[in-house]
Amino acid sequence: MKIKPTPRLGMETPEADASGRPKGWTTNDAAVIEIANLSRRFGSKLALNDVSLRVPRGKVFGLVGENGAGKTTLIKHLLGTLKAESGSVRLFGLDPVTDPPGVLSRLGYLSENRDLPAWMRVDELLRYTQAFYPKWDVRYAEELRQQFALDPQARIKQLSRGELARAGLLVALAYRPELLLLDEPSSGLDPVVRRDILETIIRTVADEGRTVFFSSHLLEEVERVSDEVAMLHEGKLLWCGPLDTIKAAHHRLTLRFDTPQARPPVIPGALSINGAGQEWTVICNGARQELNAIVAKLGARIVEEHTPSLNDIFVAVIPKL
Amino acid sequence: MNTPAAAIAWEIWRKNRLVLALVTALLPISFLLRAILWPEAVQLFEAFAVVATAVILFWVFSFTEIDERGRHSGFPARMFVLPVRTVKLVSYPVLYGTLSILLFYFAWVGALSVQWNLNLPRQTILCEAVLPAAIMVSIQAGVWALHRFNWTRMVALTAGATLAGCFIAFSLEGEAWVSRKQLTMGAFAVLAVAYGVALVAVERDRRGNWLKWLERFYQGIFDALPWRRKMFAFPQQAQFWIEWNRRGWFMACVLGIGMAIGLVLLPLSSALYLDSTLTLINFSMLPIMTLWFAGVSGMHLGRSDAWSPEVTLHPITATRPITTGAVVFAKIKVAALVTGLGWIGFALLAYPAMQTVRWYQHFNDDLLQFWSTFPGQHPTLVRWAGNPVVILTALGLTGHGIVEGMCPVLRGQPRKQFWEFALAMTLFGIAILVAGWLYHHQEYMPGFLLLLPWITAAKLTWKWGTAARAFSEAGRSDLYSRKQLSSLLAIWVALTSGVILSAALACVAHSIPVSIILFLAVCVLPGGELAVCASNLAQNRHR
Repeated sequence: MKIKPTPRLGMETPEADASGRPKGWTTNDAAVIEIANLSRRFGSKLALNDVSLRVPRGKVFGLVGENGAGKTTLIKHLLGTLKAESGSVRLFGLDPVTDPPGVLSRLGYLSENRDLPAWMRVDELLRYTQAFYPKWDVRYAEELRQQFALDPQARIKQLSRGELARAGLLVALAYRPELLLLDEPSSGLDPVVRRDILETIIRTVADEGRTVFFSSHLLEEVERVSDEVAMLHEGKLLWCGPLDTIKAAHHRLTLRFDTPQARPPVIPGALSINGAGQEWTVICNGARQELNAIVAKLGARIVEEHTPSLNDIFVAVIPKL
Repeated sequence: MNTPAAAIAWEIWRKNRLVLALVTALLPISFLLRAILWPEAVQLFEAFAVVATAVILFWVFSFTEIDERGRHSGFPARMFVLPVRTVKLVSYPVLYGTLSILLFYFAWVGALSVQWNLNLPRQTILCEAVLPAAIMVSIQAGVWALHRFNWTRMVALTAGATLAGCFIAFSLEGEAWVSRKQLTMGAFAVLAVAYGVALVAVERDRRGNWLKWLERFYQGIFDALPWRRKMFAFPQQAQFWIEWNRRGWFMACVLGIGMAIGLVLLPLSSALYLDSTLTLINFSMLPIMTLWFAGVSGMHLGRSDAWSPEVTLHPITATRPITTGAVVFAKIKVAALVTGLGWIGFALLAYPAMQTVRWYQHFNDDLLQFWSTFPGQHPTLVRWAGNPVVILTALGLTGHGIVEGMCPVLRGQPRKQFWEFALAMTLFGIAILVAGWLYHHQEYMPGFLLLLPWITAAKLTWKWGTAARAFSEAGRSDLYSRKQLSSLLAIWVALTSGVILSAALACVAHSIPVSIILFLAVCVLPGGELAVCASNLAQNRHR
């Protein structure tokens, strides 16, 4: 049975204001990506359900969600390879379907499946891609190739998964695009490469004032590099906003009761409650003062309190839906 | 379903149930048609049904699956991790394939014997039953053994099928050469060897140790081949390069060989002492084969990667900052180059193809003189075909044939493409049926010739109407730049003018009724395909 997600304090799905822009964002933020009420259906499955979000320039934007949540579908809409059934998608103020060259010349894309022609050599891939981008930086491309340890004569089909990801990343970065779209960039990369290369690159791109939009399952990674985060669940946007705000709106509390509790305590706004006997761990959202009052009323006291990690919040939220 | 045998049988059925149901239905349909159609039409349908059923069964029981990177289609690799011995994994599909083809053969032989009062000798039936079974197992062995080498597999299977076809045809024709008993024993031997090859191939493939030497060999060749080291001057050049690579030469060869095959068929008219009408139909095999192979090349060109089962536009193209019109233009330029090279290939192959006239020698001893006497026997045809306008129009129509084949494939919707193809083939079949019927009922020909101009006019109206709509929509959609659209329009006008002029030249010769010439001319006139290509590709690019 599907339960319609209910908005919670501090993590509402952004509502549109009179101008059609989601509330809460300042208008002086130049938006690189603007999605309004985007829906998409594949047969009977609703892949995207009325998604609205806005990505400001110069930010690292992480998109999280479980498998089949609609992350890749959303990214394909940004690329224009999927056409919006309802709603609108704008990148740099342009529609990627009606003006593909206008949009695609300004973004770099790494696909989840590392779709590169297997028959090409790495060197041919670089030359081919270079032809489409006047801003291609030959020196930077060579630097990246050496950093990624890619043999220019190697055929794409002979590359390992990690090498494929690096080759894809190279051709997405070498023309210094204004927007970098990465679909599960860590997939296939070993932890060292992930941390040393990918995260460094993402931060570098953002520090240069460019924008990064990436989807990932690895919430620790998203938490380390993202400025803003959105979470998709069954095609619906659950949260969207600055990471710090989202984390600040959640609390991880350890409660101690005087007597053992046979059942988990009932706490309004609790996303997950785990434990047994006298000690229970609660992840919840809501105003901190209200929580104190509720805990006191239950006859318990807060013995420990942390800011939950993104992973804690994700794991707590998903089973509730 | 608690045994591997049942599971494999269920899998084959589940994946192909619709097509297997269709194949099963063809037999009762042929009985039904016998009650309502004339015998020639029923025979034509039955010939089609038998060939189609055999091809479908060979296809279904080749039992393949595409690997996880979508590159090769071989024995399902996921089955290698099942706790089942290889001999069982291989034997079940081989057994089911053999039984199905035997069932198919006996069902059709039984039906045809009843329908046409045939009484085939037992030795003939045994021989003809074992042959398709041997072919089935050989195909399975070839498909599984060479699955990592698409080109090699295609060439090996095509060459094997051609050689086997020729060998069987000549064997069945000449009793003195090889007896039916020897042929039957030979087929049994081939079946056994093919089964052994399939077993060894799948077993060694399961251990990841199959044909490594061939892989190294090809790798050596590919490494020695020159590769692109120069920069591209502009995006369109890069796009042309990616479209041409890996298939340009292949398509040119397909086209050239296809046209040469058309030439090989021309002496049939003399070999079989065909009358003037059938001779004309036989001569039309050359343009038909040319357009057919051009269409096949176009279907190849329409896909991003013709060697992959993926039909959507490859992301490497879909995500490049290039207009959809420019991608189509790169493909059209490839089509033009393929046409030129295909014709050059045809010119080079023409002489060897003409020498195959010796194959027909046992039909008619005078055939050795067929080509030397051809200009004298058909002066009007030779004069017409030698006209520069006709030659240029033929070149243009070949290129347009590639575009026509490519146009529906660009949409990336195989189901829609299949139904369009099926509709076109049905209409073609109906035209053949009508022509066949008229040939046997010449008394209706004058009446038909009175009706034909109306059919021609309707077809012309429809064709020009769709072309006008296609160009006007292309202009509105902005998928093509103004310059690109003007170029396409110029090509369309030139081609249409060429067809009209060629038809006029044919009318002046007075060899064929004018109404037939006009009908044929309208059939080959270009429609709106050049303009529709971009909107079809846009549907694929922005799904």
